[in-house]
Formats: sequence, C-alpha cells, structure tokens
Amino acid sequence: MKIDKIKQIANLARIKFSNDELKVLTKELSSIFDYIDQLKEIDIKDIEPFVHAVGLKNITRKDEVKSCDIDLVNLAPEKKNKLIKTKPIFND
Amino acid sequence: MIKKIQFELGKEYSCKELTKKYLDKKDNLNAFITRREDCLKQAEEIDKKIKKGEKLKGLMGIPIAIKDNILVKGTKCTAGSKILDNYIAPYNAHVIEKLKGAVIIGKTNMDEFAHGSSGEHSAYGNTKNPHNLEYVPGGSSSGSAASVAADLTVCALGSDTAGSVRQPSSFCGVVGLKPTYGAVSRYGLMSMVCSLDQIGPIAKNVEDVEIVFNTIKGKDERDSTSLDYKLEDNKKEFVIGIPEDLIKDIDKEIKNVFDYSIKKLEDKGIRFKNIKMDNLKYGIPCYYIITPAEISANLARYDGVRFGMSAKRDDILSNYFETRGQYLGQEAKRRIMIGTHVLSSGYYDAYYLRAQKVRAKIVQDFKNAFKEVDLIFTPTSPFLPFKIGEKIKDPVSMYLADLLTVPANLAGIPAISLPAGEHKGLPVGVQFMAPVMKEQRLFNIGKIFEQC
Repeated sequence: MKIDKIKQIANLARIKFSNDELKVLTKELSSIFDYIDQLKEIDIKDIEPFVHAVGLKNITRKDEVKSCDIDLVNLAPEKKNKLIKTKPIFND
Repeated sequence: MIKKIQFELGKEYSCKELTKKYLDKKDNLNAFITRREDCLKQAEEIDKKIKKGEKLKGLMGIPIAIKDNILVKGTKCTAGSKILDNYIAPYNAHVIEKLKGAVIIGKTNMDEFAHGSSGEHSAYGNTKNPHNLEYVPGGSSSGSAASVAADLTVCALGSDTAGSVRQPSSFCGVVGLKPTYGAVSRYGLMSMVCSLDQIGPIAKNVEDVEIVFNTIKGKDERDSTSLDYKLEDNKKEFVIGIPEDLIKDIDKEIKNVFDYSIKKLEDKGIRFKNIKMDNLKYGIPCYYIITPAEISANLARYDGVRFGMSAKRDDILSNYFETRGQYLGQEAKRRIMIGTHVLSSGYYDAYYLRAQKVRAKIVQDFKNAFKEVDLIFTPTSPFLPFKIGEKIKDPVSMYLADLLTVPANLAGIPAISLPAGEHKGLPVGVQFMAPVMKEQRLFNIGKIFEQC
C-alpha cells in the first residue's frame, strides 16, 4: 500500500492523521493486508455467502409511532431548545 | 458461590455489608473505570426484601461488575474510549433490566470499543493480570475477567466478538461463556460487529456462569436477532472432537496442559476423536475483513454531533475529522481504516463477499463435525498470557490471540473457557464448543471437568 492510498481511505473514514501517523499506518495496513490475502488461496466457487448463524430470516415489526421517554437530545455537544445543533451541511 | 452467598445473606451478613466489602477493596489492577458507590442504596433495598422474608431469585443481592460497553442508566459508559469520556448512559441495556436485584458495583475496563486481546488498548490505562502484575489479563473484557479472578466482584458480564470473554477468562484463570449468537439480547450493548457480538458471563465456576446466563438470556423485541429456546441436553456420554490441524502450532506449555486435560477426561470415560476441520485456520483472516467492515460502519456514529466528545470546529467536515482524529484510539482508527478500504467501491467482492463465503465454509466444517462428535475441545489461547507491551506494536501478532476462539463466533455457536492448569504461575484455559443452543451441554461437561 502507498501513502496516497492511505490518505484517500482516511478521507473516506473522516479521520485526521498526522504525517507520522500516516507513515506508520501505511506500514501496518500493508502487513495486515498481506496476512488477510491468504484468503485468496481458498476455493470459494459455488459457495453461497454466510447470512445468519441460526438461519433467522428477515424479522419485521409494524412501523408505529411510539413515545420515547429517553432523553437523547440532552447528550448532544450542542443543542438549541429540544433540537441537536449542527454546522451547516450545504454550501451557499 | 452465588447460591452460597444467597443462602448466607440476611443470616451471616446483610447485602449492604457484602456490597460495602466489595466496594472497599482496593483496585490495584485498574480493573474498573467506574465504581458505583451509590449501589449501596440498591443493597439496602435487597436487605428490606430479605427482612420481609422474600426468597432471593436469580442474581438478587449478588455483587456484579459490568463491562463498560454495556449501558447502565445514569452511569458513565465509555467503552474504554476518550470519545465517550462525557457519556452518561440514558437507558439500561436489556441484560441490565434482566439483572434486576443484582447489585452493580462497577463498570470494568476494556480495550477501546472491544478492539483488542490484552486490555492495553483502553484509553483509561491497561488492566493488570492478578496472577502477575507484569502480564496482561487478556481482552477485550480485561477488567471483567481480572476483577472476578481477584475477587473484586462475585461475577461479571463481558462481551465476546472473537474471544473477548473466553481469552481473558483463560488468562486470568476463571470461567467465561460465549453464548449462541442471539441467546442474549444486544440491546444496550455498544455495537462493534453486529453479526458476531454476544454478551457473556464470567465467574469463578461453571455453576455461577450458568446462573448468570439463565438470568440474562431470552428474546427481546428490541434485538430482532435474539432467540428463545429451551436449555436441555440429556447427553450423559460424550464423544469429543479435537481439530488437530488447528492446534498443531500452539505453544508447548499450552499443549502440555491440554494433553493432560484430555487424559483426565479419558479417565472419566469420555472418548476423544481427531476431526478434520480444514477451514478453521482461515478464521482470523476472515474475521479481520468482516470485523473492520462492520466496525467502520458502527463507529461512524461517533461524529462529534449527536453525543460524546466533540472538537467543536466551525465547519462540519473539520468537526468530523478533528473529533475522530483527536478522541479515537489507535486500534479503533486502524480498524476503521481497514474496514473503510474493504467496503470501498471496487473492493467489496474481493474482500467482504469472499470473507462471507469463507465464513460459510467454516460453518459447514462445524456442521460436519457435529455429525460425528458432541463437543469440540481446544485450548482457549494458543499461547500463555504475555508481558504488558510485548505485542502492542505488532497488530498481526496480537490478532493471532483469537486463533482458537474466533471460529465459534463466526459460526454463531456457544463456547466456554475453563481453567485447566498453569505454567510458572500463569493460568492456562481450555475451551469446549457445542452446537447452536446447546449451552446446557457446555455446563454439563464443564462440571465434569471441574471435578477431574
């Protein structure tokens, strides 16, 4: 893996790294992917991917409006009245 | 121990006295992140009930410690991360509701977001192994296992995604259970890998683990993957399989204890048989694709907007980048990076889809094996507890700690770790795995093993 690739992944992951951290990560992720790549030696032809351990199928519930007495808004770093406050997500 | 305490409560000591005894014990292992002094009020309530002549059921009156990724309403819940340093749990996890009457004495230290096998990835300092303070207690439920082993609590809850209940139980010389996937509701457990996470009990003996498991298990509408099933198993004679291939490279000290354990069980009339399970050795590379993938999605919620710490920057993007850069730990960031890559455009088939197919092959290995044998037996860890700092700089060598425990998570089956011996004062554990929903078989064999 090259450092530019690591920078691209960090951008997708929304994490700020220092240059030193990026160098260490480049080395570490390379060795981790070398290790993971042993999966390529397994024959997976005609194998259906794993879905669920006990074989549960989709479980649905009614889409109902219920009241909630848990105060989640209060945990937000910034709030205004009963709303979570955030920075603008669209440019002008 | 639980039954003995409940028998003695109200006769030899009050619940308040018992609770105070545990709260007053010095935590020289850094096993707790939070100790709940206010639980003495809970203990007083129990004492009132005892005075009224109420019979103690389940875990009533028993001091218990809870891993810090499980929500206890009104108590700080960090998951070992700085990003949740200011987070007070707004509701109770399902297991906490089930534990009603037990006295929650504290929240235990852990690898950040349960990423790790040594306890060293906690933002609140590493936990020490009570058998030797220079050694790691295992992880990620490091504080839960260490606190049980040092009798800082009677029992504890941990969570197990690749061995995080069993491996620290093995390193600390206590009993730990990873239940069937779905046996225990995950509602209120901070998600790491939704398709693998299970809450499991840690205690000093099999009977106590069984009591805790029976208290917390069951269907919960808020976790659609949770299950209801009857625990029964009438098997009296066991044929136990040993996946020879998987354990061929384990350390000599572990092999010695393992071989001796087999001999002791053979003397009790239990038969052993070598079984071929060729795909289990791919458990770790498979895990290190599925896990980071799910982590990168699950940890996206730590964005500095909705809850937890925030860098409070003026524009939304810098706020994301700085919050996550500043407050997430090294291993969490590393796994988010791996996961982001394997799920990114053009890589899904090569990594995630391939891993889920390999996982299907591992599940098939177990299905075939359980046609021939009733249980599968291995050591819990391929090596002894290691020194603090020994593996921290080499992620891949740390990941190998899960070699023998991760297959049970990938297949969703239950597994138990039991203390089996020691080498130079460091505990060695062994593991039994059973088919899905056959926890009872694990308790039965566990009790036989304890008497060997």
